[in-house]
Amino acid sequence: MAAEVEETLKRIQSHRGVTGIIVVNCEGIPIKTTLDNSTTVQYASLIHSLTAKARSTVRDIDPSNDLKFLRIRSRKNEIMCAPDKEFLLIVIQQDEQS
Amino acid sequence: MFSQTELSDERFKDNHEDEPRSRAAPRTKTFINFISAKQRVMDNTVAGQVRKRFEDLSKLIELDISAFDMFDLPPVKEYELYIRSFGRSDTRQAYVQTRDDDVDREVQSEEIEVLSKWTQHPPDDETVVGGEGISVQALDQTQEVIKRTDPAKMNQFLDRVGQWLFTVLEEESGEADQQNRRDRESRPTASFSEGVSQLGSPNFLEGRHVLGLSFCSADPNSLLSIHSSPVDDSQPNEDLSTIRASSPVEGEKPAQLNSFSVVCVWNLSHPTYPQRICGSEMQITCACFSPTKASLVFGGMRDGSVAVWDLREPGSLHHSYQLGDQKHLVRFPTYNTAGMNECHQSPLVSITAVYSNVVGSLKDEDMAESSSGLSFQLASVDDKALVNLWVVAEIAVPEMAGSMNDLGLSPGGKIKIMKSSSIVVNNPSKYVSLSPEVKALDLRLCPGDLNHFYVATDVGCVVHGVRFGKRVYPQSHSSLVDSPVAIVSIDFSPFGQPYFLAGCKDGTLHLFNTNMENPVATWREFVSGESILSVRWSQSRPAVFFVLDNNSTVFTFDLVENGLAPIKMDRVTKADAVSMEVGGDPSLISPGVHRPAYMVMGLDDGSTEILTVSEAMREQQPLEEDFLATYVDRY
Repeated sequence: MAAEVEETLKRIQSHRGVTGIIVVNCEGIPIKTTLDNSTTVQYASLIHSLTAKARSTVRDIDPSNDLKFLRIRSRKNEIMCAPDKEFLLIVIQQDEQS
Repeated sequence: MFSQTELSDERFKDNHEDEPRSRAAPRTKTFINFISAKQRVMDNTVAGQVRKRFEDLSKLIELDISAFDMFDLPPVKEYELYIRSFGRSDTRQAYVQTRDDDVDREVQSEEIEVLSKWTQHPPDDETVVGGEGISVQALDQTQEVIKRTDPAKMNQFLDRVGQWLFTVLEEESGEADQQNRRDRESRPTASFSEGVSQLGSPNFLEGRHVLGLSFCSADPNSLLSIHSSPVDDSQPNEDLSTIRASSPVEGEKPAQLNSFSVVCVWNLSHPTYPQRICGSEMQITCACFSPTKASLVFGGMRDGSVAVWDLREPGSLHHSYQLGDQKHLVRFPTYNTAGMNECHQSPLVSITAVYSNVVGSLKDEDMAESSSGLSFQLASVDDKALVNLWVVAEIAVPEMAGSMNDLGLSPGGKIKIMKSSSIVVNNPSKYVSLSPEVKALDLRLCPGDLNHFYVATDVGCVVHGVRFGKRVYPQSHSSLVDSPVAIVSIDFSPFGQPYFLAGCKDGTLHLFNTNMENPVATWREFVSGESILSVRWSQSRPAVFFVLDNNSTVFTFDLVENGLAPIKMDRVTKADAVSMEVGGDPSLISPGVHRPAYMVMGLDDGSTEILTVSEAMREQQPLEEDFLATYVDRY
């Protein structure tokens, strides 16, 4: 079971431009990560709260709706977040062109 | 004047007086002291009398001894010492209560604490160590959290999210790469297709040819591609006994990824990297999916054995191989029939599941019957036209140690296949052939009645046989030509109509009805090359089919529009196409789903092109199905 999880994560990681993946649980604690500890903790806490805010925004506008995917594109890189009931997946991708 | 004697008396007196004064100094004149001597004698006699008395009395009297304690100081007890120093000095311990059986026992050494642990090297799977209290350091919070998370749920989450992520990542990489886009736009798409893309080519696929492709009939998004091994494999006299299909044993030299023949399972939504890589040291010649779900892959090998890969197995049971800077997880067969006596002895030509995948039919009852969808039959045909039928069975309780009786089953495997019957396809007596033996080139089962199977032979006919039963009519189908032309490819109409197409090596195409021996329609001279490589019905429209010739041209026929000639002709420009497959139409399999239908083509440079079927080619003409049904009546 753990190996399949590893396989999926490895596949995502081997995609072009992906610098790191973090899996966060519902409390905001990182469970799996490919980055170093301090970066992970920082990303996890910040993104977790941002995702919660984004989700609440979406649901306030339309209660039957829910946040599916959140993407933050910055000058240097791009952060993609896929929230779920129990987990949150954060993928940090380096922008190829810049 | 005294006399001498008187003098002596006087002298004697003097002596007597002198004696007490100076007894020590002996006088020169020794005078015997008579008086003291006498006194002495008198003392002795008195003492003697006393002694005599004692001896007389002691016989009558016994003396007793009595002892008296003069002084007693007991040793100081600890408690009193303690009380004296720490307690109140005027207190005294009045009462002590202990259990009667509470025996105080002093042991020299302390109790030994025991913990059992184990480890294994090299590790068999993920858990390398185990035992009680294995983590010596105190668990910090994150580790506790990690222990609490349910891996199954995480797996599901990652699967779900992974899909979206891949789509998004691919969009990203597509947008970011301008070069790629220009390249794609310049490449002409076929007239029946709206878009073309390619299957990813990870580094281990370099130098390999695509030997074949196959879609999963129920899941049109799953495709498998068979790749040869990059080393030269065309050695007919090779010693096949040393090559194995099962997982390589760690021998003197570690197995290299380049020595394996692989079947890659792709999910067409994420074509950059295969979902699963199934490897085998023995060359794989043909492969197919399990019909209802793409969870099993069946492969036929060059030595005639059939191997089954279970794609559901966890990756921990298989090894990763390093090629270049990438690691690839290669799975080896769960079940292998090599070594079984009654199997095929020559290379397998075709393998297919006995399953009726008629488009548009009611599938619900089928799904309900087979609870897991994994008990079905399999048909395989080898070069010498021997058809074997197998039954696929699922093992309820897999044994991690492997099976003692069934040597083809890998440890922990859940699927096995058993041969149920075998049929030799004979050359129907009417036909003349160069060799007495018939060579089979393709096998298909009639979707309308799974009892009937059809084998394309090199003697110019398609032999019709039944799995159970004796006689069939018609025994074979062939065209009205004298010289036998090998029939290379046959395909049944997926809409349940009793028609099938047969493409011949000389470029002729026949349309047969299952009830008639002679073809209903024949098309000649339309190919640009010399022979037909592949013939496939469209899965979206009943009257449309595609023909691939050896000149990489795809001909599209539409019987509604024009029954005499192909309506479209497209050349695949990039490289020569060697095989073609048409995937199921998602909107027909699961109504309401708007996903593209694909056609794939294997090119001889090892890459695979994916073409989406255009909308015009997917929309059925009115009454198209009835058109085909009554086609035979026109001629």
